[in-house]
Amino acid sequence: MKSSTATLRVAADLKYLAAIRHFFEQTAAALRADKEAMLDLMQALDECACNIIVHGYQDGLGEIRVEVWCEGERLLVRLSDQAPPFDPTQAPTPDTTLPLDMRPMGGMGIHLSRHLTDAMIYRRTGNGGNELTLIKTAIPPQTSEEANHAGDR
Amino acid sequence: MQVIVDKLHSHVPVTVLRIHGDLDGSNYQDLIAKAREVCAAGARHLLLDMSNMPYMSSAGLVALHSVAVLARGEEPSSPEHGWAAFHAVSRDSSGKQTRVKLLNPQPRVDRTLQTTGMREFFEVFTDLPTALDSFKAE
Repeated sequence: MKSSTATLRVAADLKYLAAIRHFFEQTAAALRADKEAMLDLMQALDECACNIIVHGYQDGLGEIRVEVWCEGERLLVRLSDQAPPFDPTQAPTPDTTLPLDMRPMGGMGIHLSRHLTDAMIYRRTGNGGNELTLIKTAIPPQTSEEANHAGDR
Repeated sequence: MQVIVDKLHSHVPVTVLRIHGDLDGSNYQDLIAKAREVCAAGARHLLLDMSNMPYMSSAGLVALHSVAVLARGEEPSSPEHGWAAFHAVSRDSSGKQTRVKLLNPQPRVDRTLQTTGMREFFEVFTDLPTALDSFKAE
């Protein structure tokens, strides 16, 4: 069962990264998410939002929409933007067999996001935007049913 | 995020940068700017106190990389150029560079350091006296 969805819209500006994290943390807490799993998903959200602002909009004008909800034991957060197409799920994985000195530092945010989530799903929307959904098992089984109704209260 | 600077002395002068708050994409350049400021004033041994830094994103890794290069007296290059800037950074026999060390990274920050391989470059301490004592004259 799916909970109601909490939504935040912010300008694509790095100064709002803390606000995005705070919004997600508060919403996940209301859904009774496990704290460690919630923090994993929060970092992935932060990394992806930062990439959209810096590499997507390239620090220009734009908006990011953040939606948070849960489905059963899964906590989901979706980032939507109108920046040029970019699918982070197709970004190359850093070659961890390379000596450390030779690894690129770029791409660490996506690498961390993959590491911290169960799944990342990208979709190019009909109106030319990007939609990235990050998923993590984060709702304890005994509270998932209650959490799915949390938005109703 | 705020950075408070303390100048302490052990075997050598050590500049402690105490980071308060989250280190993310919005403020990592503030940490680099502070490191640039103290290095321009002559600091060569830096201890980053992470006791009060609950969160660090990958942007913070770029800041750590840059601080280590600045402590060598050089200007950091673009992060896209990779970790090669560490090649010539003075290191001890364990492969860790010796001029910038970390104090008390919180569990989640430590995990980010480990996941990205960044922890291999830094000596990490949990108490200030031991950290200060570890800096030696080169």
